[in-house]
Amino acid sequence: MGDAALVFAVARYEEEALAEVYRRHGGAVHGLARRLLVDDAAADEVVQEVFLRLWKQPDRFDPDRGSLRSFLLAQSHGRAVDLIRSEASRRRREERDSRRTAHAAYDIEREVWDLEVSDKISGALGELPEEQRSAIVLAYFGGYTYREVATILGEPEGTVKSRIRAGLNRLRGPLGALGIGAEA
Amino acid sequence: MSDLQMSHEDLRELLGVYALDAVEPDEALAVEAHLAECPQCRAEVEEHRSVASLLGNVGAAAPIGLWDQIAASLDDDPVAPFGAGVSGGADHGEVADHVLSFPAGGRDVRAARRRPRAAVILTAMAAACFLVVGVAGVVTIRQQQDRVDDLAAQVASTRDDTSAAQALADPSSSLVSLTSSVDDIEVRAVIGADGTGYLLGAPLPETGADATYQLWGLNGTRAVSLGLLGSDPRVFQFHIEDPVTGLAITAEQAGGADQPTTDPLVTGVIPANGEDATLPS
Repeated sequence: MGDAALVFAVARYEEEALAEVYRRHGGAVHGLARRLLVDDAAADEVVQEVFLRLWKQPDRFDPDRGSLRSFLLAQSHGRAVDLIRSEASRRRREERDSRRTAHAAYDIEREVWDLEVSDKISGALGELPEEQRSAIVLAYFGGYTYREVATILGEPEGTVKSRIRAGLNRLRGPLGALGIGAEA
Repeated sequence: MSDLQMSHEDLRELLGVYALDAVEPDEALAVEAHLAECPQCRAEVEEHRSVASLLGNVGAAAPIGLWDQIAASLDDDPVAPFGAGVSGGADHGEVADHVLSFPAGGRDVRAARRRPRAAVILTAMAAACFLVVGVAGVVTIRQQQDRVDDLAAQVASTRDDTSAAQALADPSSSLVSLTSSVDDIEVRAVIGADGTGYLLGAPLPETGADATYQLWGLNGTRAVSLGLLGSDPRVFQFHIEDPVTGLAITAEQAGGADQPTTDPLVTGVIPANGEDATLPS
C-alpha cells in the first residue's frame, strides 16, 4: 500500500493505517525533533502531536505536493521550532545561547559534522560555500530565526536571508535526484 | 519590524528562511498571505521544503513505546464517522448498485399505493430524524476544507472513495445541502466542476425492498432523474448533463419514476461556482 492510500485509510479512522505510517516514518520524525530539541521527552511530545494531527486532519497532506515523509518532517520541524521558541523553553534557550556566545568561535563545522546525514547529503552540504552552509545549518538544525542567525554570525540580516535562499537553491540540484523515502 | 507593505521581491527573499521555519511570526503571516495568491512562490517554497526535508531525513528507528502513547491519545478524539449506521445501524452494503437502470412506464397501476407508502416513509423519517440530528450535532459544519476529513470517513464505504474525496478537496466544487421543510434532516452532495457529483451517505430511513429513493436535478419546474439511490442510500455518484439549479430526493416505487410522484423529502440549491451552500447549524 502506498503512502497516499495509507493516508486515505487514516482518513477513514483506521488506526492500523496510522500505525503503519508510524512504522515507516516515525523514526525520521523523531530523529529530526530530537536533533532540534536535544531532549528525548520533548521529541516524543512532538512526534505524538504530529501523528495526532495526521489522524485528525489527514487532508492537510497533499500527495501532489511531495512525499508523506517530507510532509511529516516539515510538521515535525515546525512543531519543534515552536517549542524552542515557546515561553517555556525561552530560558533554556537563553542559557544555550549564552553558552555558545561564551565560546568565542561557535563551531559551525562541528555542528555540520554532527549531522547523521548520508554521504550524498553531507557531500552536497560540503560543496556549499561556507557562509551559506553555516546559515542553513543554524537556521534549520539550530531552530534560530534568520535574525538570530545574523546575530550569531555577525552578518546583516538581509545577507543571511539571501544566503539561505541561495544555498537552498544550490542544494536542489545535487539533492533533487535523491528523492525522499516515499515507501521507506 | 516588517509589516504588510513588503514588495513582491521582499517576500521572495523570505521564501528560503520561511521554508526553514526561520522567520518571525509577523513575517510568516505576510508570506502565507502572499503564498495563497502566488503559485510561483508557492512552488519555490515547496522546493525549499523538500530540500530541507532531505537534510532533516535522519535515518532512525521509530521509538517502540511511543506508539502506545499515540494510540492511547487517539481514543480521546470524539469525532465519529458521520453517516455510518444512521439509518438503523446495520450495514446493508451497496444497495444502489443494482438499481441504476431507469426503466420507463409500467408502474402506473401501482400509483394508488404510492401515497400511503410515502406517508409511511415520512413518518419513519420523522421518527428517525431525532437520531439523525443527534449524529449531525457531533460535526460542526462550516468550511468545506474543515469538513474534508469527516466527509472522507463518510465516503469510505464505496469504490468511489478517491474521486469523491478529490471532489471534496477541490475548491472549485460546489457543496450542496439538501434539507427538508418539515424535518431537520440534511443530505449533502458535492458537485465537481465537470458535473460529476457525489451524494454523501444520505441519512434517510430505509424504505424497504419495494421502494427506492430517487435523486432529481431541478431546473425551474423541470425535474431530471439523476439516478436511483436504492432503499438505504450510501455514497452515490451521479452526473449532471443539463443545467440544473437544485437537487431533490423523492421516495418512489422500486424501479423509479420518470417524474417525481411524491413530494420531495429534501431539496437543495446548487450554489454558484465553488461557493458553499449556506448550511443550517
